[in-house]
Amino acid sequence: MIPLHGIASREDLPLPFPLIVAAAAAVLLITFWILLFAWREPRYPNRSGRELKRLTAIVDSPWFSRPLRLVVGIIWLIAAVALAFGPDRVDNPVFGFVFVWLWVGLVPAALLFGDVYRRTNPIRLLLRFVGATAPAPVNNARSRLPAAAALLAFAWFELAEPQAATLPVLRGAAAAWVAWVVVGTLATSTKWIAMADPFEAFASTVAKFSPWSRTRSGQLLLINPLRNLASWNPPRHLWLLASVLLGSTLFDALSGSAWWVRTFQDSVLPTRLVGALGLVAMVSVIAGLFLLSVAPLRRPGHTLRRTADALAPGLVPLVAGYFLAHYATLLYLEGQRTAIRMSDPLALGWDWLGIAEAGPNFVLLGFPTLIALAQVFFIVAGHVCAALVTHDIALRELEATRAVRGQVPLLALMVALTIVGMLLMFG
Amino acid sequence: MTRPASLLLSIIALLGLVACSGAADVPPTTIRMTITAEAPAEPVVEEVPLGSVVTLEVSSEVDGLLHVHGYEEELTLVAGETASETFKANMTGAFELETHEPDAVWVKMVVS
Repeated sequence: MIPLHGIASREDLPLPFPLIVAAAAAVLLITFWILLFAWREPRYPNRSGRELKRLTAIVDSPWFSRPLRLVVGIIWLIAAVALAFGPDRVDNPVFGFVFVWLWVGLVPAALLFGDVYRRTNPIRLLLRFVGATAPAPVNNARSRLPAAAALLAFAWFELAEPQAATLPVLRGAAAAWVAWVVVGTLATSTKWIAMADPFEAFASTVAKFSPWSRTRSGQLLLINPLRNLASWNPPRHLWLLASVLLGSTLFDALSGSAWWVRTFQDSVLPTRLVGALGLVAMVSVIAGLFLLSVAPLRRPGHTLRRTADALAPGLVPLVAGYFLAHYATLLYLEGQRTAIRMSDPLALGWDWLGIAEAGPNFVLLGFPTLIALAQVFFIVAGHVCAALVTHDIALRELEATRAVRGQVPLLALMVALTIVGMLLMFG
Repeated sequence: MTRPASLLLSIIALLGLVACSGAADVPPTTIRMTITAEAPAEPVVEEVPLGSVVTLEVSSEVDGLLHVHGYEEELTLVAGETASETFKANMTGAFELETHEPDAVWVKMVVS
């Protein structure tokens, strides 16, 4: 029997310092280049790309939609059965399902395939009878504040709740999530799901940085991801949602650092409280700095909140880059283990998929330099895309000279976040 | 494909070639540890070269289980006896060697 423990069984090696220095230098140079020499007219004001009529017909047909929903629904069902009836041990696949497949996997899934989480959201399937599976509206600018709050709660649960990988506690959290989304939907309307479901809100935000979009008439559009993001008419409180995601990823790295452990291991305060305070402090710092640094880009007559939301899409590539850099190896190793455990979800000796006896493939983990390079690539690429999208949005908000000057604090904040993010991975 | 993406792919391909040519004759490693009823203040850091065959030799004053994270190896401990276990360190990273009674991390194994 494998004893109970959190799902992260392996830490990446610290990034090599020379690589961090080189990456930081590249980040500074590219950022200056964007500020001083990149385009002076907004390039991505509207959503345009290649319309894919035939693909739209396939993807939107029931022959595609139904099997997709059925398969994803069955996987959720297996996870739910394992949650309800499986053993309270870490080899119960529900832990890997929630913390690895769902939480970490939704970022690459959204980047590659666009808004697929919305299509297969299990709560939408449950609420089919009230119309929750209807196609997404072209633009949904409703507040994401409830989702930001739910994401903060999930981040606390994942990072600060010591019993998160035990069944009773996970059952409670899952019940709270279902109740939050289902009761809210039944009490208001199906629009609540997009506003409040933490996973759908996260996934559909990242999906705006994918090469997939839709025209007004609903045709699939193959689009430059930068254009997709920059031409987005963002929902209200997106800036808070992005701050929660950035803040909690940074908190994850910070709370794993030797300094944090040394400072708080003998603290008189309960662990959960220390975690909650640390998390809220981190998110508040990010949100506060973001508000301060978008202030110079405020258009006359607009509120600061509206300016922050208009510029928030620029944070999405940062979030995606950090996420991939931090969790890609976890997804690789524990993602495979979860698949293997799914073959015997109740630990009864079953082997549905014929892989219960297989071991995960470790090959990629034998190349530490490759892993370090990939991590730095994700962070730097995320930063560069973030700076380009921000630049384009700023040019749309203000005339060129003011927009260029006004961007300086925001780009400086992004550079600082990127370098701090890499230093945290240095250990 | 955009230019940065193709550049990255070629770097990856190049690294693959470089990395495949090495990895011969790595010396084996032995990690010796003593489990007591009292948890240690800080785990001992053990460096292990990638590809090395690791032998754990664990003498214990208590009954219990020792768990090697990541590799998911387990040792059953019996008070007063020495248990051993051998596995190949074929993935890089930092891994905790931990018992649950007492609830403690004894060794942090760094494979690089």
